Amino acid sequence: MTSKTITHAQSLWTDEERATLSVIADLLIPAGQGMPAASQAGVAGDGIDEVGTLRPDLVQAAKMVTGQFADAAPSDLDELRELAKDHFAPLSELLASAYFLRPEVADAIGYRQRIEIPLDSEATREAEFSDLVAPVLGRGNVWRTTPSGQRS
Amino acid sequence: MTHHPTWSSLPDVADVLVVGAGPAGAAIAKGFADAGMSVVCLEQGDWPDYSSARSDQPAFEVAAGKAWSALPNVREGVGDYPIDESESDISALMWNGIGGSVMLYAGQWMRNMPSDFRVRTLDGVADDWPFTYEDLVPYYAKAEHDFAVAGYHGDPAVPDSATYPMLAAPIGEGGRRVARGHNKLGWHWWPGSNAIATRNYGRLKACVQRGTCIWGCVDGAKSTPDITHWPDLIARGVHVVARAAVWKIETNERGLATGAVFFDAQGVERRQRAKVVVLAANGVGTPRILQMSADARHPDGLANSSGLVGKRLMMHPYAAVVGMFDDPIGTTQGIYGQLVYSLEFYETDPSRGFVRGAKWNLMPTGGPIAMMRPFPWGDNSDMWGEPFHRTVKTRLNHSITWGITCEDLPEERNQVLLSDQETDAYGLPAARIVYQTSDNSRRMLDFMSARAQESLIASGASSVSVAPQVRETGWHLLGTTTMGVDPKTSVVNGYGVTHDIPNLVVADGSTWPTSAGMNPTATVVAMALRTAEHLVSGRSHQEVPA
Repeated sequence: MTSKTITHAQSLWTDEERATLSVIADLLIPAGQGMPAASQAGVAGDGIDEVGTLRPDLVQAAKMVTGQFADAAPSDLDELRELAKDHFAPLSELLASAYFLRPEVADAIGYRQRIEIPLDSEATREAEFSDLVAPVLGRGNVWRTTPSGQRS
Repeated sequence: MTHHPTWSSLPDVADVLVVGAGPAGAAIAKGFADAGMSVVCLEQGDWPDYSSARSDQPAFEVAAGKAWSALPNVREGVGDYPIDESESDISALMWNGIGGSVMLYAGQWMRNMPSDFRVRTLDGVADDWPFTYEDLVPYYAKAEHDFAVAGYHGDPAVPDSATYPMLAAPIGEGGRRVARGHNKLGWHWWPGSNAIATRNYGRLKACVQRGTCIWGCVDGAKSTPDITHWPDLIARGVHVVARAAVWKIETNERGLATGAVFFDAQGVERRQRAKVVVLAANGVGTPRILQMSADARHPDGLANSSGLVGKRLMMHPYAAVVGMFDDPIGTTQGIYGQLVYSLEFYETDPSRGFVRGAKWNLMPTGGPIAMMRPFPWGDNSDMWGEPFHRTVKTRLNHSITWGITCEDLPEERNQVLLSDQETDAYGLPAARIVYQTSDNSRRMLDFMSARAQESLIASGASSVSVAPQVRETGWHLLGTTTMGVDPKTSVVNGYGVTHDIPNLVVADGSTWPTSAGMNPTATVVAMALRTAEHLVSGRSHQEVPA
């Protein structure tokens, strides 16, 4: 089987690998609950490029799997789990990570990245803690004393 | 910051050589520097590169899985050595670099309890420590200020807690629900104590609740020695050498340590001589160095006349129990220390069928990629395909997890050995870990998981997920150069000084005779401060090489 290298000279993936990963990604992440399937979100395009650049360790595992399915992509999830069980964890991490990084997916789930959330004021925290811990304080000291350090 | 001294700037013979630039190494170096002693610290890894953390970028969770992985076998950083874990129930987690493994901690800051030092006396198992909780109290207080601990005073389950230099972080909606749930059950809980600044403090900035604490805090709020200790110590003349991989402690004919042999960043073998040598390389690295230091005079490794170097490894078996709520509770972020903790089941109750207990810490669950990882969800193999989107929606921003740290009793079969199969970048033996979870720990994990489910249901969770023991949770590496008064049954004395070599000291968690059930950094640092004070006060009597 001849592998055609696509578009970018520095691409991490061949066309065949992308095609296989697209099928696998849809087995893992089909459409549903108002969310697009992995292929609809472009996971096997820019998605796996971005993740693969950050996580070369996942690329290696994914290529092992695409090699296993070079002749025919898996027909269902059970076949994928069975035949790719040694690489299932990094493979699923690669494809799901690529999915969640797609902007349209991030918008749909309401999460894009971690943001700064300033702390509540000390007065607010003090008031909340004081109110909530009252029943705990009401039960008194509960630590276990020791022969060397009887304390109260 | 980064700092790389020239070789010619180092003293020919340092008063003290510290191996390892983590919290124990930093705390003890500070103690010696405060006394005006010359200190060289050799650290096998490099200064942290926070730019690789991407904590403020969309790809944060992706990138964190490699460059900031807690698993050295995955991270493969410049200071990392391979660890053969094929015979271990738990993976050893560590950070080999300036700052040490607290670069990866959640900042959860807990003192040990008085009973933790008297396990034999109280419960008839394992060993008492050669000192008491009360002996450590003044050092705990100093450590909490040095490490910028934020907490809430007055916990009735913790003695002497009123020393936190700043107020605890917000507990969030998830914390509020669990607090009310525990109040309903009559169970203990308390706002979390964390080494995460809640206001600007020294070189630290106030936390912004990004929730990326264990994968590189780009906001400079988490307390780690690369920020809190080393810059000031370097300014005061302490020599910190990164990329210096110590592999051997040398001794002379008088049986005294004379210094260390190490490889520099270019792989050149070098020596640093010293009057006193302190090992602070964690519960795997310290015994590995002692074992690699074997020579004709010490065929079983250095300081190993007891045969216990590397043995009694304790790693705190860890369960995760996640509660899912029908409405959003804001848990994609928030401090990723502990929002609240519970000591309800910390002490022994014979009716439970095991001895000792566990500390619980409540944490947010993070972003979407974290919804499919083994921590804290355990086996996720059934979430793929049709259930995928439903599972993510049920978890994301709707879930909160109890992490359960179980006290681990020492057993000699659990140990650190040198691998005869793998080597590191310098051709030195990899570490090999043998660890089997004990029956006592398994019973404890089962009990705690069941109670944590009750906790979360009482707090309003509509469903609960249980990971009864999570493999990638060996943050706490303890016990492998155990402390005691008898040289036949211990490696070091109550100050961490090896029985066999009077100027060789162990300052990390390796010395713990028992593991307690707490996050160990507070006690590791307090012990290092106590050891430094002891050695400084006795320096005129200290045996040193000529």
